[in-house]
Amino acid sequence: MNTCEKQKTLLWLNRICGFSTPKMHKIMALAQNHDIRKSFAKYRKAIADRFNAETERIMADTVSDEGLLNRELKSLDEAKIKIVSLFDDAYSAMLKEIGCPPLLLYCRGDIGLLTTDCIGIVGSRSPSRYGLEVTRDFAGTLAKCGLTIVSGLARGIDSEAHRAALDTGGKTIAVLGCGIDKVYPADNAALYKRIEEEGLIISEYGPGVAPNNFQFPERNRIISGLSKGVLVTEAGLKSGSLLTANDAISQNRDLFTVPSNVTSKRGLGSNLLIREYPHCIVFTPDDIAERLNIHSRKEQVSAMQLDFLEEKLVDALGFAELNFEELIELSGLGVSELNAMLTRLELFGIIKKLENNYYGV
Amino acid sequence: MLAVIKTYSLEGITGYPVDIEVDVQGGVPGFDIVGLAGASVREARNRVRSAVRNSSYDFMPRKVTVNLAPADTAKNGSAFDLPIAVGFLAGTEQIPQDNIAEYIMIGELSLDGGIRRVNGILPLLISALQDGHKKFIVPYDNAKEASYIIGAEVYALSSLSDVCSFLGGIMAKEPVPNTQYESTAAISKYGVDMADVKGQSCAKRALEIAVAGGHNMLLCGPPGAGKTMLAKCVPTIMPDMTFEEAIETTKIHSVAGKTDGEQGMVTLRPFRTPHHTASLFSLIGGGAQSKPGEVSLAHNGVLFLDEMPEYNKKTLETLRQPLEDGTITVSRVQRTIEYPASFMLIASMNPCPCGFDGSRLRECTCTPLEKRKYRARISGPLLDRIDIYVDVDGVEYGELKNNVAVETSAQIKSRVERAREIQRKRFAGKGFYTNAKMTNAQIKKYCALSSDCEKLLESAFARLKLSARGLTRIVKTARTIADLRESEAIQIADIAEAIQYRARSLHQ
Repeated sequence: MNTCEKQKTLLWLNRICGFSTPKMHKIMALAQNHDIRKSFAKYRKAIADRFNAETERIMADTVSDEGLLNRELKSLDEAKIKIVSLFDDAYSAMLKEIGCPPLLLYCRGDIGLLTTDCIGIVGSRSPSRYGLEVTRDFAGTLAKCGLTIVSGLARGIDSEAHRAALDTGGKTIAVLGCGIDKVYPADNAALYKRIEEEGLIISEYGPGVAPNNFQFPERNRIISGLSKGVLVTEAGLKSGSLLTANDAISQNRDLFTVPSNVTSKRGLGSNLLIREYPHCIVFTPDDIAERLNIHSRKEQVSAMQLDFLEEKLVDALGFAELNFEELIELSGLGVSELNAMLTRLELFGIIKKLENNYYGV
Repeated sequence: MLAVIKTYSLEGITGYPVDIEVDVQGGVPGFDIVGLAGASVREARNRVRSAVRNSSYDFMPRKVTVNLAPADTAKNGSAFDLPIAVGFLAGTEQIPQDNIAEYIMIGELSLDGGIRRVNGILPLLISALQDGHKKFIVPYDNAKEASYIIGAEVYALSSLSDVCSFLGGIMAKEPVPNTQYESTAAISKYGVDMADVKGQSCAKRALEIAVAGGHNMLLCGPPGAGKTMLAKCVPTIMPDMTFEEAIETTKIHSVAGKTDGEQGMVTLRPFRTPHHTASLFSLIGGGAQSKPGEVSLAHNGVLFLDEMPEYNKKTLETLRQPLEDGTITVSRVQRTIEYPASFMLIASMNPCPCGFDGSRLRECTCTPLEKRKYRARISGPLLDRIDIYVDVDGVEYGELKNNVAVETSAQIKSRVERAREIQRKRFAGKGFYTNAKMTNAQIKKYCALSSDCEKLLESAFARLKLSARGLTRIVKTARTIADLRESEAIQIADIAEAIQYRARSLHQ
């Protein structure tokens, strides 16, 4: 049975019969690597015994309907959806190792990314600004090191990880918990399009499958499965990213977490991870690169000529975010001069303007 | 016998002449008022009857017909009482008719024969004066308001019998002396001063720039940071109203019945703070009489919208016309009226519904969706009309020992006035006075940028992801900053400062 035939068989089981991944695994095991579609009559009895009459009936009704299958293939083709099966070379070797790997992946974008070195970055859907900044820093730097950033296209940390990877010219894979053609949450439509063009979107669910809540934990096992390690940048106590962390542990992946502010509830989950797995703590992207044996490509920051006062401000901001009023006190400048100086530093990318009139590096 | 009395009525903030014809004939006694008289005009019949009797004249049982010409315009209000009563007395020959045609009479009668104050005296008299009328009889309580009109001979009388004695030559009365307009905008009258605001130097500076250039402004910050206090200080640093501005503003306030009898004129810049539950009509004007709304009452002053996203979205969108043209058109079944509405908009908002997004003091409890919905309530087109954004400090000032000298409103105001003077000269004859109102072509002409400035703008454009509109706003603001320095050329520091007051994107 060649690859294309296998794809067709899996597509038949998944799309036409509507079977889930575990059930498809069982059926494939029953057929022992023979093409069940071609010799269905032989396995008919076994299937009726193993499953039920309903399953057998569905399969029997559609097994010889080539037209139905061709129509399905055509509609996938028209929607620019590629399929990669567990038996293809294009399939991720890492993902093959996990307990119940998806037999069929629906893909949009560059399927070459499946075989690259990946790192999962996940976290809270309503992160603090600290969480977002850490995510941006880690995702950007690791993407520059050549790692593909894998995440779930959710709001918050996930979206930030995808964006940071693309912004630094890196690669990213979004694993969906719904049908490949559905954008969930809908406000990420622009990001979805961008990833489709510059990265890869995958899902084990075919077009049209609604975002049911049980599918998201299942999607998490793919995020960790694809990756050499999983980084949880910030997670609340009940965050779904903690499930991804558990998947990572059970799949023998490296787990990484950055510490969060202990007074903030938003980072409680990720801080508890550190208590449970003390080894997972990391402070810089380099810590991860080192653990994964990847050489970080350090960029030389272009040396900027700062005068004495600017140096002083930047140094002070390095210790803590400061309010405008505090900066006036520190610099002794008037409001307009200070504003002009802050603009200059901001344009050089040395400092950032934050909410509530705070500035930080 | 027929008597004709001249009076004026209001259409928006302009007056139009109304001839009151009172015809007294024999026949079945009756008192009819015709000429599209509204309910309040028809009730004049009862007031006139009592007032005439209580002024010791005779309300004879005759067939009386009162016509308000032009008869095809709807008329409302109680200001026709006095002319109707005088017309009746002249028609019944209780007073001589010789000189009543010389006067424009306006006034509401009380039952005891006294004359009560009416709304809109200032615009009425100004229109009548323009039509060539010189002599006016107005209620005594409106004397102050009328006294500002140069060239008018205004007689302020307090009762119907006084009016009759005056017309009959029995009582001599001097016209009301002109009051010299002086702007009483002593800063102390506002009850607040910039010096009272602790910290917030960045926001204060931004306010100074906004006022100097007439820029609309958005203040963003957590609850209790002092946004309202800052906004309240704005009138204290605005330049004094000129006589023309005061007249314009008073006209509107007079029509709305919001002038103060003793003061007569609106001499302080208005500071209007409609509540966020304000209806569309209270904001832009309307009702059966098409009364001016808050945007018009704020004419030449400040319209402050506290917690802007809490306002009804439709209500906010109607602000687009006044922000663009400085006028508002109020259309009703009976009439369409255009009121002036040229104001400076100051809006405030919290960064998110709970108000603590980005705060160091408390943690924000809003979901991203809530935040986005909250911010989306202010539409893009409206944001495009706001030049200056500033974050107010969410900080405990107890910890700060600031040595920076605190400026008083008077000091800031003197700088603002000089900057406004420069702009007035620059835009002489253009029909506007402030940098904020420059069109794109005018920006090119008046905001020449050196190549260094261009370079800075280019890098800001790329680095800070600004829009083309955002750049225009920065240039306009920089122009005002240069004017505050009293410098003709815009320097690189001006642009750099203006960039700090740029819009933060509310919509992502």
